[in-house]
Amino acid sequence: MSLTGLSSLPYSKQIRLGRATLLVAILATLELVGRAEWFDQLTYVPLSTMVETAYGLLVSGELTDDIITTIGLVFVSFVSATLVALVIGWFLWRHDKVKQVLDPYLIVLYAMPIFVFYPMFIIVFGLNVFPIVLIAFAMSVTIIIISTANGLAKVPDVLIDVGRSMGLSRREQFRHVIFPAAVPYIFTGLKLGFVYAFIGVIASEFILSNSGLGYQISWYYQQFQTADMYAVLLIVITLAVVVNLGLIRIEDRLHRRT
Amino acid sequence: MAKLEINNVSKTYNANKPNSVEAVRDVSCELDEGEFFSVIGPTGCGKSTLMKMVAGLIEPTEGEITLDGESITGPREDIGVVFQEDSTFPWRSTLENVEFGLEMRGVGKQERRDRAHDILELVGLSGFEDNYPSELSGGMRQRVAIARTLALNPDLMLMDEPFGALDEQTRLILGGELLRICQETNQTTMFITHSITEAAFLSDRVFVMSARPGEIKELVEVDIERPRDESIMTSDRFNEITDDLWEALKSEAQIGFEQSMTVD
Amino acid sequence: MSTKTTRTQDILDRTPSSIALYRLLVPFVIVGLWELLSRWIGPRVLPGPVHTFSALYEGIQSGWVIPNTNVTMQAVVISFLIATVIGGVTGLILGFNKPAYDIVEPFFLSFYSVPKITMYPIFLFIFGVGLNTKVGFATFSSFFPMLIITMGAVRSIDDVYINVGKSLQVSRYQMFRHIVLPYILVQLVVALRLTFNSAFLAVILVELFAARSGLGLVLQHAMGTFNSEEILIVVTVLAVIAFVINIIFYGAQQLLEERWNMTSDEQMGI
Repeated sequence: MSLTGLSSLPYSKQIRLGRATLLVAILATLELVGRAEWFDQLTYVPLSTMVETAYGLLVSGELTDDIITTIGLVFVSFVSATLVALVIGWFLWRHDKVKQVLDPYLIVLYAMPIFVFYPMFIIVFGLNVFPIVLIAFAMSVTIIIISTANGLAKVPDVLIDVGRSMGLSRREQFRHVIFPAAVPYIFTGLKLGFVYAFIGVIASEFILSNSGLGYQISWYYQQFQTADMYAVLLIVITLAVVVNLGLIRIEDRLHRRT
Repeated sequence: MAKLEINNVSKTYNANKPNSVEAVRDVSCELDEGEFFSVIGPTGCGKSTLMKMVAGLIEPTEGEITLDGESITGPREDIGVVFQEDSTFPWRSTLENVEFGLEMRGVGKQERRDRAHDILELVGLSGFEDNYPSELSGGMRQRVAIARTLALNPDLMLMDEPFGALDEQTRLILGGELLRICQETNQTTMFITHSITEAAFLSDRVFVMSARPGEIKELVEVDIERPRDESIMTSDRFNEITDDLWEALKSEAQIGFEQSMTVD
Repeated sequence: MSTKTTRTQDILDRTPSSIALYRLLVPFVIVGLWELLSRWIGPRVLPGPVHTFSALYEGIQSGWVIPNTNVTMQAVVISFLIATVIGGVTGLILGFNKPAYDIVEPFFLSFYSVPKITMYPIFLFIFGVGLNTKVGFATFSSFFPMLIITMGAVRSIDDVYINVGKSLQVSRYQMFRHIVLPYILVQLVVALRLTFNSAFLAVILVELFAARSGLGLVLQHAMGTFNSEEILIVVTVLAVIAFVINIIFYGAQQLLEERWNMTSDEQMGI
């Protein structure tokens, strides 16, 4: 397509074309770097080898247990974090004094390297899934609390007045006005919370555990099974990216509504 | 020779593309030194586009705009602009906001401070020098923006619906202040508005623009003697002029309204 | 209505300094909870705060705490600085270029959600174990928050400010120094904080996984020998460092926000 033809496309199509081009360029680079043999087979393998190996691992069922473990742990940590955080966030919204006292701590807690508690959890609870869930839970819960409390506080007064003028009870008010109005903000917290739960589980598995996708990466690394390591890494990255893109999409839709 | 000349100016956004929009069509007019000139028109008629072309912020597709016979090709030091949106810098105090342009031009500290104090006095903001915009009302912030422009002593001041975001009373008060300031300083001003009263009250001449694409629909002379004050608003002549303006604007406003319902 | 409760309530309501007071109490509450938890679980498994602080003091005396902290923090600071410069500059460039921004944004946002520690083996393969690998990886993983926030901040600049600058014919430098930079400053402070935290976490993870020295390595050893006292010492040191630095950045952010009444971007959830 000629350049003039390109510029006559609507802007959003140009951008989509640009993104596709960039994606292809990234994938091609991952492939060509491997083919160019700058690195030996123990250091890097071409993308096609990664995909092939990943396919093999998935079909053979070797990874099935690990995938189930990882996804299960992410799910358990994220759901429990969400439930706890929604309640705490709601509580902080209702009690503004408490919120003001705790605000800086929440912000700092959100940014703290919570992961350093993992070794402690292992000593207290043993080397099982519990420390992993606890870490992922702790990494995920703070941001959901913050976004719930702030999201509820951000609901415009005028909407609340509309509800009141129509004689809604407190409960109806919350259910039909305040909560729906806060959903877009809360969702941003949920999205980040999910991301952190995922990172928490994978990182814990990677550092010390005995199953899961993160564990497999570290295990293949230690066995010098480079192709397998890259294959699992590719699966993890793809999983993270696909889920995240889905969440961003939902988020955009929610924000457009407001 | 007129101060500002707008000669057969047109502007089409995204020219030669399927999504092109003709905003301004073949507009010509002149402004004399010291004149207060208003452009009035329905929403979306391209009056802001016209102003941005005079400001040198966008280029006309066709035609030419000259100031003192010199073609305008980009922003110029002798043209000051007051925008519709709140454009005060939240990180600068009132005084620092007013000094901004002078500071950027390398005017010395003492000189720009004196100048800023004078202008703040002129716009009635003495005593608020050290306040930040977040501590001021919307009307006061707009005074700061006007002061920031006036501080540079521009040959031509462009105002794009500067009171558009304010409530009616504040609008009236600031309109009165602007009238006084412009009469005192003999400031050449091009004023964009959609308020008929505001245009008639402030201007020497009012230029009525049609719905998009904006063309000159009518030129109304406001032959009420200066210096004026609020009392003219109750005069018969004032009412006749506002009636004329409304007459010229009515059908265009209807078209503009319909356009705004169908477009996007 | 009982007068007693209303009076205390009144005092709480009226004086914002009471909030500051309560805030100061929070660390003590945390230490208190730690003590309770330690008694509940058993001090052998989870030593209490008094024991940990005295052990920390001994650790400093015997000379293993400070050198290891230095090793870790040196890597953190270097990576933080490099990531700030590279991420900041790239963020500015992409932020000023709308099409480029629109194209790359989903890539960076997606990549932000990848657990980057799993990519550390690649760095190890290529560079081997050492300070450079550590710094290289921590820079790589902390580069993203800086970049994402900076470019988002630049894009969020209200057009009217740029137009004010243009109409006043300010130079490119002045536009940057007096309009762009102040506008994005609050968000940059947030970015610096998140970048620091990413670098901090990355270095600890790396040291936990494979390193020759540093607090992360101490953690790893202690984990292997079930030495909970040593783990708590390291966790305390790391928590205090992270806490102090975050409070400083957060304080700066609050100061700017209150003075200018500007808020930071919400993209990263803060």
